[in-house]
This record gives sequence, structure tokens and C-alpha cells, in this order.
Amino acid sequence: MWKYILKRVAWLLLVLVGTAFVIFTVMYFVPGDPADIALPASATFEERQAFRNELGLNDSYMVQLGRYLYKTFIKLDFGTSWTYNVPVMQELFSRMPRTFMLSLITIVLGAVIGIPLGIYAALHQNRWQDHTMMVLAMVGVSMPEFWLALMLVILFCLRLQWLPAFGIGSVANWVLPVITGTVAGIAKNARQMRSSTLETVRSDYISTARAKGVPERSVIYKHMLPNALIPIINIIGAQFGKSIGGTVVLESVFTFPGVGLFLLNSINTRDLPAIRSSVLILAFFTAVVMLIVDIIYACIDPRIKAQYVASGKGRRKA
Amino acid sequence: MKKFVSLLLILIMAATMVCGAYAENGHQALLNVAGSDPEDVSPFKTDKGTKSMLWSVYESLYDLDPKTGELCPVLVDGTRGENGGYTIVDDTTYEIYLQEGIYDHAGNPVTASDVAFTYMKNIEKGFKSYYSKLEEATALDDTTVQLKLSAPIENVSELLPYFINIWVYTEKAFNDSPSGLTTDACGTGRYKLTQFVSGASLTMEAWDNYWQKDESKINERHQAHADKIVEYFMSEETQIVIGLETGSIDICTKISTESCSDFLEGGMYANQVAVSTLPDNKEVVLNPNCSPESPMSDANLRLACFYAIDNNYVVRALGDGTAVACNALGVKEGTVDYNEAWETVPSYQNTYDLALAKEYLVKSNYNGETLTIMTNTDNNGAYKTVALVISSFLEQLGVKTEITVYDRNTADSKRRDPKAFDLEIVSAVSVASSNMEMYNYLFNTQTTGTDKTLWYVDDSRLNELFTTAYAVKTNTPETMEALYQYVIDNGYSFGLLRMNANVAFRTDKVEDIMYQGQHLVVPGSSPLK
Amino acid sequence: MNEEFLDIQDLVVTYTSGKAIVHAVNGVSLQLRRGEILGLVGETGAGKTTIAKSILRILPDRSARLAQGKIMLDGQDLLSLTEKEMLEIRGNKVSMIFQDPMTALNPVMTVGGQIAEAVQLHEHVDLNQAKKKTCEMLEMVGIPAERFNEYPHQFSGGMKQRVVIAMALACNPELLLADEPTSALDVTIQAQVLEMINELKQRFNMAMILITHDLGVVAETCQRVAIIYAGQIVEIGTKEEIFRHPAHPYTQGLFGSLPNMNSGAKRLHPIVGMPPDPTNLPKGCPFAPRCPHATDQCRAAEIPMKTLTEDHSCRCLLQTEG
Repeated sequence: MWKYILKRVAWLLLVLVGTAFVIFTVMYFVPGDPADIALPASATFEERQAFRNELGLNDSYMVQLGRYLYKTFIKLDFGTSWTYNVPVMQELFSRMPRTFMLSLITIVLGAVIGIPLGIYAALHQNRWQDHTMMVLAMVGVSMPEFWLALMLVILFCLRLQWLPAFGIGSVANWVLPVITGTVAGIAKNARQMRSSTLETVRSDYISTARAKGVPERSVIYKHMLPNALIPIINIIGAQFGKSIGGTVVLESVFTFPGVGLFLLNSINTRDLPAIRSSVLILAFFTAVVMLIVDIIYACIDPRIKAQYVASGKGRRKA
Repeated sequence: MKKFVSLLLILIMAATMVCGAYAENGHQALLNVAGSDPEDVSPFKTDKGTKSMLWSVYESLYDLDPKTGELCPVLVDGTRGENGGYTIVDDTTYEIYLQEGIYDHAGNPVTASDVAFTYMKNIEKGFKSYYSKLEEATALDDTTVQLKLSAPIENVSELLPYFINIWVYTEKAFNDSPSGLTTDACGTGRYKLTQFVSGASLTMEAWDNYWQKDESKINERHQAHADKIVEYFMSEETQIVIGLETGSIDICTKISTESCSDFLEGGMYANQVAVSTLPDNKEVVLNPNCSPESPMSDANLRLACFYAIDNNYVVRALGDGTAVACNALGVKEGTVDYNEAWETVPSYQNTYDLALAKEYLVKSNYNGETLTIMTNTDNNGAYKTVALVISSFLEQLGVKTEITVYDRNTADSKRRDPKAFDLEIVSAVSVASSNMEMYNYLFNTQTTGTDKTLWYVDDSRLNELFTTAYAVKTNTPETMEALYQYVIDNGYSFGLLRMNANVAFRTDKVEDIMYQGQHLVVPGSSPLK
Repeated sequence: MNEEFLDIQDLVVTYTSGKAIVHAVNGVSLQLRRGEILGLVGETGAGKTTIAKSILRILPDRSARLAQGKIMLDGQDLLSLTEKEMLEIRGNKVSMIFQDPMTALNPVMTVGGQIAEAVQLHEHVDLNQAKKKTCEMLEMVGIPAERFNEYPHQFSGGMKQRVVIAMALACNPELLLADEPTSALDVTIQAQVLEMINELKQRFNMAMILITHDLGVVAETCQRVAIIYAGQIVEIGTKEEIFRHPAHPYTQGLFGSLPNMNSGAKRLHPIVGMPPDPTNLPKGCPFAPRCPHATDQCRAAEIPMKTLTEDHSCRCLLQTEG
């Protein structure tokens, strides 16, 4: 198993280098000249050229790419943001905890609430509990996040005046962003869990367990649940990986300074160091989350573990 | 499940009680402002509109009177020097005289050497363009700064940045600062920056120990009516509107006209929130692409198109109160060289004449080509509406058009390609005190490195007239008139309108809004109730 | 010990599928003595599995309905017991083996763990003793006890079925319901498994209902045979009687369709037609549409069971009572 993990870590580095290459190339071809943005409109042509020279923007593609890769991976210098004038890593690390916390809370709540709801719906299949829950889940999944956010703000901040609408001062500021982010998560998890449970419940080994005289409670928790949870882990992992950078909407609406807003702003101002380094960090986190998810998979499903061990050793176990 | 829900409700209630208590403790003179994200609090690139809040934290040598466009001394001593604070020793040497007894928030005395340090530091920090001619800044004595230039100041408004864009800080403050003055600030202004949360908010507190003890020398833009100002960086207008309605926001420095509907006459919150509207000091212009690749290089076609457009109608199409139409190519308020006569002299700027337009069209070489109108997405898509209306006018004339819209940065790049567009709707630069700043953007060939303007105008006579009017020595009402007339006769640019900049504020806390030059809000100096 | 150990009386089970009602079992009665193996033969969908699941009462709650009937096991009516009481019976007194060994085991539990679970549930012993018993059972079915901690995916199909059998027999049940235990296995493994079942049956003196559609398996292991068609028992008797003197036209058709290796026949002789739609059973004899000897009387009303000899009954009007 350790060999497998080491292999994955090695792949991670390759993924990062590949990501760096891709984002560099993409930003190279995107229209928008940093010189135009950074300098005032009255700057002369020579001044613009001088600015570009200083930033190395007038060199050829290969030279710029080489310089960038060298700087990032060998010197581990992730650059200074042209817009924020602070080292990119510093800015990211000051914002990361917030985004991280928001994502984590949202995902955990989404799982903790959504999974039991899904199981409950599946066990009461085709009865009113199931139908109600699935309708609500559909609504939850279809609602655009920003619309929900604004609706909640109008209700709780304007009409009821219970909660503050923006900022990051106190715990109260987190309530609405968390609720907004969790709704979609609960809905997705409930739907997935329901279908996963339904599939598992029909399995032969559940009949076997019942035929053995296992009480229904144990059938659900000991036999069905571990099997039904397997697909969900993947989904939750993917949700987490995506949400680190994907909370842009929430951050925008609630003035929640996180990684998403930072990246968005950097893209608008063509702040190349910030964009490249942010994307790298996001890629890193996503890859790590995926690795953790795969390891959890292996711990739960022995078939997967065997697969990993086999691939780590390079031959199949008889 | 039930337990979980009740626990959640308890948490919410507890949290709101905490917040409620907190709110009641706030001073009456606490102002909450919704503004834009300055990204950092450094005093280096001071022309960034998003940094306008920091205007209260740092001071420059002079500031501009927003009504007259004239320089008012702040840090300089207006009684010394030949020009009210400074002396032009010779073509390339300037002397500036500071007041005595200035010190910054940390108590460090501010002397001429600090001002010199500020100049040189700003150049180092990448603000070269404004100070491209500054070779050296030195301190002759404690209160005299000498600027040595590499070449004489030739053009109008070239000197302005040296006076109003230089936010002074001390060398000691810069060296003492843990972040090199990027995430913390130490200036001489009425307010101290006490907190900066990147991407979220900044907090300023009134500095009781302001260095200027002579009340008569403090102009109305450097007052401190509020004890504490918190600026939240909010981009979502709905949130701002809700903030204003619930009272958690007192002032919003920039709000679109649509969002103000609840606050205007007859609106639901008209009694609690008022709106102060000023036309922007940026003019939205319609520029033709005068390169050979475009049919607009034909002057007759240009004049035909311009006479066929009624900019009053365009303004109406944007909605009541969103913009004001311009009857001349220039900004009226706060500039020293606007000529009212331009509004009455008949030109396409103030005349809508379809028959005349058709005459010009017949004379032109237009063969039914489809013209591309390019614009950008700023101002919530207002420019797109303008493009649509203009497109209809041109249809009426018999000219076919299509519209392309990009975000501003991409539009700026697209402009480099003469095949990409035929007409562009764009907002010209902000005018601080002279309309030559705008004409510089429109007609100067220096910015492109070729002999043509940004819109490919290749006209030596234009160049001549522009250079004459732009040079300080020859800048007179007559030369400006000559330039203006030539531009209008050839249809090189059409000043369409100026967007209204709205500032919304709560009437129970704020009496009125104070502006500094360039129509930026100074919340600290705004009179409060 | 000639009393009936298992006595099913007039069992009727229906499933609700959407709006349609599926008549799966229509009045089935059969008896089983201790230690006896009864083969339950019929086509897919005839209702065999339903009967077995009814005995254990593990039919799907939502859709199945045990409309009427009595299932007496050792004097107790299983259908009147509470769920708690049934838990004692399942896996303990009555065990079931399912058809597909590949999916019958929980993939995330060790095989030893699954067997031990049954032991712990019913014998009320601690983990170590359960483990011991489990290892014994594994050895008994021919699996090395060291493989206790391995997972199902590490076993082949035949070995998985052996694990299933070990699990079913771990608590010495008195009745084993085997639902096509060898259908998913190849012939050589089939032989091994059948041999093992026989051996274990001898050892524990278990009664067994062996559900199958394979007459060859019946011939090898069963003592009595019941033929099921459309949810009804159409013929029941000793193996010898049924094989030598098949009475019901359906049974005759079944035997007739077996290819005869000696005759050099080129074509198979299937029974003409298709089994009836269980949601819409015909009145009278369900086999009438396909029966070459059907008369109007056959189609008119329900056919009663006729006793032909002491241990051979048939549900057909054409038979003469013996």
C-alpha cells in the first residue's frame, strides 16, 4: 500500500508541472496586456515597452516558459502579485484558512445532513417521505447559488434583521454563506445516497444477511451502509476539491475575502503571477484531496485495496 | 434531526444577540462605507480609483478644488514661492516649499528629505510614467525640495502629478513598516489606518493629534467629522442596497442608477437614504477608426454618422438620471479650460440633423459595408445600450452596423488591431483639472510609438495643433479653440455623454457628501448629523 | 419420526408491481419429514424461490403479500410468529442458500467475519469461540482455516459457494432451503458441491428443500420431488415414482424435452408455448393452453389434487385415482 501512495505522490508532482505548463500557455494567449492595465493611459509607448521588458513579457514563449518553470519549481519562488503588491503565497495563505473553513464546514454539513436523509428516503421508497425529499432535493440542486444567497440575505438581513449581510467579523457572518453552500450539497448527497442505498438494498448479500437472522438494524448499518457509502466518498471528495476554488459566488455576494475572489480579481487584472500561483495551489489541493479520497476508499473497500497493492507491486495477486 | 435543528436555531439566536450588543456599543460617529477593493494600501500608485479611501490617510502637496480645478496647498506653504508654494527656478529645476512642523501618524517629523525620498521611492515602485522626467529629487533644507528634471515640462498637466499624486510618507515610516507600506499605512492625513483585511475591509480612525494646528489652513476636504470609518469592499450591489436600507451601511461611494430606485422620489426608502448625483469627470466618446483598413477613414462618412446620432436620445435610452448628454467634447465642471462657446457653435455635438447627415453620406465613399461598433462591458453594460441606440440611428441613416462587446482589458488589446473595429465607444480618461488630459488620450501620437493616435488618425495638422495646445508655453484659449475646431470639422471624436456617478447615503447619519477633485468621495469630511 | 417436520398448507403469495398483481404462489401445500430432501422443480418464475422466502419470511415488505396459508415447522406456525421470534429461526433453525455465489457475500466483510456473525447471533458465544466454530466450518467445507480473514473477491465461484454453505450450516439448522445452489457453477464443481451437501445432510440429519430446474441434480440428491407450474404444485411424489411414471402432462413434457444421447436425435422436443402471464392467470388448469390433452372441463374450474398412489399425487383431471 505504501508503494502505491508513493507512486501517487510522484504523479502529484507531475500533475503540478503539467498544470503550470497549461496555465502559463493559456494566459500567454489570452488577450489583455498587463502593461495597459498597470500603467496610466497617458503612458507613452516607450514606457510601456520598458515596463514589459522589466517583466520579461517581450521575450519569446519558450524563454518565458523556461524562466517561469525554473523560478517556480527550482527556486520555489511563487512571485509577487502585480495588483496586490505582496508575495502571492502570503496573500493566498492569509485567505486560504477562510476558504478552507467555509468549504470544510459546507461539505461536512452537506454530508452529515444529506447522507442520512438519502438513506431515509431510500428506506421509505415510494412513500410520501421519499417523494417529498426527492422534490426538495431537486429544488436544492437546481437553485442557483447566488439567487439563494440573495434571497436569504433579503429574508434574514433586510426583513427580519437577524443576521449581518456581509463581512467576516463574527460567527454570525458565517451563517448565511454556510447555509447557502450547504443546501446544494445536502441535495446532491441525498440523491446520490438514495440511489446508492436502493442499489445496495437489492443486493443478494443483503438477502443472505437477512436469511441469516441478522436484525434489520444491523442489516442497514453493518451490511448495507459500508457498501452504499463507497460511491458517496468519491462525490464528497470531488465536491471538496472543487469547492476550494469554487466558492467565488459566495465570496462575491457576502464580501467574504477568500481564494476565489482573489483569483477572480487577478484574472480581471491579468495579474499573471497571482493567477499562475493560485491555480497551482488549487491544483495541489485538489490532487491531495483526491489522494486522500482514494486512500479512504481503500480502507473501506478491500477490493480497491487489493487493486492498489497489486498495481504497486506490478503484478496481480493470485 | 430535531435535536440538530433546535441546536442550529439556538446558535443563530446566540450569534444575533452578540451582534446586536456589538452594534449598540458603536459610536454615533462611526461611518460604514461600501467601496471598492483597493487591493493594497500602498501610497505608490495613487491614481487607482479604488484607493480613493486612502486619500484621508495620506496627504499630497496640493489638492484640487473640485469646483474650480485649481490647486490648493495642503503640505506646501502657499505664502512662499512665486507660484503659491513653488518656484520655477529654470526650465528643469523646481523648488517646492513645505510648511513647518509636519509630522506623520507615528510622530516622525516630515521634512523635505522625506518628500524627496517619497518621489524617488515612487519611481522605484513602478510609478515611473508620471515621473518619467524626474531625474532627481533632493532636499535643499528642511523645508525646500528641489526637483531636477531631465527635460523641461512641456505639456499641460504634466506637472500636476508632481503636486497632487504624490502621497507623502517619511523615510523612517517606510523603513519601520513590516510590509514596506503595502499592508499597513503611515501618512499625515486626518485619519489613521488601523486595520486592513485584504479583500474585506479597512478601518480608519480620526487622528486627534493632526499636525496642522492652524484651523484656517485646513480646507473643507481635510476635516474629520467621523471618529471611525470602516470601509467594506463590496461588489454586489444588492448587498449594498440592503446594507443602506437596514442601516448597516451609511455611505456607498459608487452605486448604479438602477439600484437607487428605492431611494429616489417616491421610493420606499426615500426618507432614509438620499442620493447625491454628479456627472462623472470622464466623457464617454465615440471614436472612429481612421486607419486605411476602415471605411471611417473617410471624413465625410464620419461626419455623416455623427450628424445622424442624437446623443440626447441616447441618454434618454439609458434611463432617467443615468447620464447627461454632452454638447461639447470636454468636461465642464472642475476644469480650467472648458469653453462654454463650444456648446453653442453648431456642430454634430449639439445638432442632430439627419438631412445633413445624408448629404455627407452621399459625398462619402460608403458602399454598403457593415461597420463594426466595438465597446466594453464597464458600467453594468451601459455602453452596450449606447451601442444599440447608435446602431439604430445609423440604420436610419442607411449605414449597416454590427456590435461587438468585450471586457475592458480585452477591448484595449483589440484596439491594437485596425481590422477589429470601425467605431469604438469608450470612456476617455478622468479629467483632473484640464481638458488637455482628455485630448492627450484621444489625439496624442506618443502613446502608440507610431505617428498615429490610438485610433489610427494620421494627420500632421492635427499633430501640430495638438502639440501646440498641449505645450505649457503655448496653451492658450486660442490654441485650444483651434484644436477643438479642427477636431470637430474632421469628426475625429464625438463626445456622447457623461455617466452620472451616484453616491447614496443615509440621511439620519450623513448631512451631505464631500468630494475631492476628480469626484471622489471623502467620507471623513462629509458633514454628519 | 414420521410426523411432518415442515407442513405448508395452502400458501398464497402475491406481489404488487405498479398496478398489476402478480400471483406468484397459488395454493401450494407440501410436507417434509425430518432428514428428507425434497426437490422443487419448475421453470423460472414458477414461484419456487417465493415459497422458500416465505418460509423464512424474507419477502420484500413493500411489494409482497402473504395472502393466506399456514407454514407449520415442528408444530409452530411460522406465519404467526413476531419478527423477533423469526430472527431466532433464521440462520438457526432454518437456513437458506442463494443462487448466485458471486453476489451472495458482503464484499467488504471477511468471509470468516460473515460466518462468525451467524454463530455469534444464534449461539450467544464470545468472539473467540465463534472464530473457532467458524474455522471448523471452513475446514468442513474444504477451505483452509487460515483464509478466515480473506475477502470474498479473493475466492473463486465454487469456493464462494462453499463459504455460503458453511455460513448456512454454521448453527446446525434443521431445515436447509437451497435455491439452485449449483446453477451458477460449472459441472465439475457442481458435483463437488452436491457431494458435500449430501455428506453434511447425513451428518446433521437436516431436512432440505432443494430448488432446481435441473432434473439431473434431482436424480442425484433428492428423495421426493414436487413439480411446480404457475405457482401451483402440479405433481408430487417419490423420485422413483416421478421419474418412472410421470403423470402430469407438464412433467411428461419436462422429461420428454431431455435429449436422449442414444437416439441420435437431431432436434430437441420442447414443450410448446410459453408459461402463462402471472398477472393474468387463466381460469382452470394453468397448463391447459399448452396441454395436448386439455379438455373444456380442464379450463372450467380449479383442478383438485388427485392421489395416484401412496406417495404420488397429481393435479390433473386425466388421471385415474389409484
